[in-house]
Amino acid sequence: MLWLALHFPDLPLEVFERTAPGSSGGDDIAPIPLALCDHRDILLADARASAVGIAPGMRRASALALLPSLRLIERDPVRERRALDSLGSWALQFTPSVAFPEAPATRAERHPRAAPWQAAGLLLEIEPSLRLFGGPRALLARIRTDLALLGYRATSAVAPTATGAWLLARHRDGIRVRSPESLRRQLDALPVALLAAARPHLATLDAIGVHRLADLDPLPRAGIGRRFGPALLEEIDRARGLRPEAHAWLRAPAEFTSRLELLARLDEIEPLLFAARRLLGELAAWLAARQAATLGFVLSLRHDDGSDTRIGIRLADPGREADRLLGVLRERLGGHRLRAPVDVLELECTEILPLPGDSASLLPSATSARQGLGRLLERLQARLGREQVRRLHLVADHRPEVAWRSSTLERLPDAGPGPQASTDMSEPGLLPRPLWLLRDPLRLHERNDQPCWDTPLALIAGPERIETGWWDQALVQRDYFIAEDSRHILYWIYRERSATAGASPGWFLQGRFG
Amino acid sequence: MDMKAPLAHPAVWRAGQLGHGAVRALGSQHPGLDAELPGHGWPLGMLTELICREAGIGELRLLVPVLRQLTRERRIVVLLGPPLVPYAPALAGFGIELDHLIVVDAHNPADRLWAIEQTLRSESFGALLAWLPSGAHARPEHLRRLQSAAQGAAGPVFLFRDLSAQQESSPAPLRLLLLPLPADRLSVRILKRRGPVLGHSLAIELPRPDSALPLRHRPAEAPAQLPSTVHARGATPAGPSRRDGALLN
Repeated sequence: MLWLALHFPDLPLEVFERTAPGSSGGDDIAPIPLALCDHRDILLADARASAVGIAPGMRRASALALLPSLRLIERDPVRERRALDSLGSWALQFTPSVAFPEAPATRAERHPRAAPWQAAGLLLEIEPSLRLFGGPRALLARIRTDLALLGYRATSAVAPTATGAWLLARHRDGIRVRSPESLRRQLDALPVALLAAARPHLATLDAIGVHRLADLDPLPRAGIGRRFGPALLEEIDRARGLRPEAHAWLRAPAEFTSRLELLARLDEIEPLLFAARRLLGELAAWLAARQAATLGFVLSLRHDDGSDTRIGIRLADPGREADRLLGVLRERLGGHRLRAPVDVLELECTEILPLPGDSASLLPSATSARQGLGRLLERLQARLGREQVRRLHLVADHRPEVAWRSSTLERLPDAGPGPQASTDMSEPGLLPRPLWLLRDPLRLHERNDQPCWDTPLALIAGPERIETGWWDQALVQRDYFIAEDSRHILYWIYRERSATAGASPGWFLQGRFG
Repeated sequence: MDMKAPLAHPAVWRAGQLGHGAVRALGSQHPGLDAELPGHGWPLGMLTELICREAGIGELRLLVPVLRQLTRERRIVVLLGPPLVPYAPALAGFGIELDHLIVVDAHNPADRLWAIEQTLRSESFGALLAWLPSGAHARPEHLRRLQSAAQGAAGPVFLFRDLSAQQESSPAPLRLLLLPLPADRLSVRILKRRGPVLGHSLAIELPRPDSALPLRHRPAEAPAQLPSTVHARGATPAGPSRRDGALLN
């Protein structure tokens, strides 16, 4: 077995920080310096605060004296737990075996200075996934890119045991060991303070000259067991692979909801998209872990006045790529004006379909052209509005204006060669009909009893009498003619015969022959 | 050096001949027109400009044969920004499969240009008929963008423009000026093509609906009388003044 341990040292800060643009990029830092504190001391400082010398353990007052613009934030364990859970779902896309590192001994809670917070991390059993992702190096690179996109920094280690990898990851970033011998060598050099079971005894251990794991080896095991409890030796043995490890495996939740509380209120679309990208990245990972795809999602923007704007996005065909989801959202939000500043984003996804992974194909296939069409239509729908992308249908009615209807596109038309199957069953046009219809008939004026449209219209065919619709208050009594003007353009005009249907008698233009 | 050697390349043609070689094309099914078009049909992967004064002069019927062919092959035809309502009964009457026709409306000029470009880039349509926003909203640089986006398209791309476009330069390799003619014909003048200048206009016969009444030339004394559809209260309509001519369809 090969384990990858990810340690998130800055997680308590990142849950606040990652909503601000720039926090993932290396070159520009978050605009406001942040530090995490309890009632008295600084617990963790971000890059900008550290740069002026603010360090964990410093008093709040001293830190504020150093950097008056420093923003102090109290730890939010609930938010951290939620972030770690969503990271767990995210990690499931790389391997089905993901676990949280052991919860630290409960007694550690009583020594806040020794363990200011429970170290946050994930354990991934990656051996079965190495081939799929192209080796440990490629897998790690991918994980790092993804994490940067999500707004987290992690240190990592790869080792044959989970406990060992977890210890190494917290010691130094980027250690990779494959053989038990080199694992043992690496572990021997670790400070004892990293062991969860050693935390209550750090002072004693220090007093008897035990600083590194190797320092425990010359001491009698039975004595160590009596003095420091069995947990200490067990932890070391697990790390060295001498004792089996038991894990509580993580399972992806059945529904996806993720929430992002923004550090600053946003009233512009671009930073909002940036924040939404993080949520969509989580969604994409969650979908990949479930081998599923979504047909749509709902993004709720909570405004600072307490109201909500819900933005529903539907896709033309199931998808799970974060970039594609973001592209659709971008088009949709592009024309959107925010009613009020936004402080919370919530992403919800319930419509899920199973979708096997894409198989690599050398040549473009009919499927990919169809997918291209689906992507196109969803982009158009997102920017222009769903009702702007339509299909036409026939309706069996003799009144020209109700003989057709249009509908929004709910699914893609069947593509590719196949048997003809027309769904619109109606008598084909027995009578001449124009290719263009005016939305509202235009009244024509008359000159010498002849209808005119710029120039006098000559009637070249007709009349076709249409008199129907008495049952639904849209009675028409019309005589239709085909008319030609002096430039040889053909029009479809009618003469209203009665004044009953709300229209006065006269000539109207309703179509052009195109 | 023999000057004929470089000219053997299919993408190079002499000024006096049509550049057939490098052009992928889809037959327009108007023999008179195909003969004058490079590649013997509507070019694929490039823009075709159709310039006409207004909608309804026969510009859509000119394209009916390809629309019928493509929709029957289950390829998607996109109508983007049509100026009026494309009338479903008439389209169906021409044998066009409505299932494979998608109408996209974009009233804002910027949105429409964006939608055209997106459609071109997606390369997933059978044919695109797009009505450009008028006048100043469609400048040559927009068209250059569209022309470059059209390169990968598998189907013909028709851009409808108004008469003012006639005078402007355009990157579209094929530009046609359409004018109405009497008796179901359309005058087509080729303003630009890959080949020699064509001095005269072509008169193209426009298609008629598949299943409609046949076109009949009526004697002067018998007015073209179409059957009345539904008579709730049957009354013979009074025949207004009417002149001789071809009964449409």
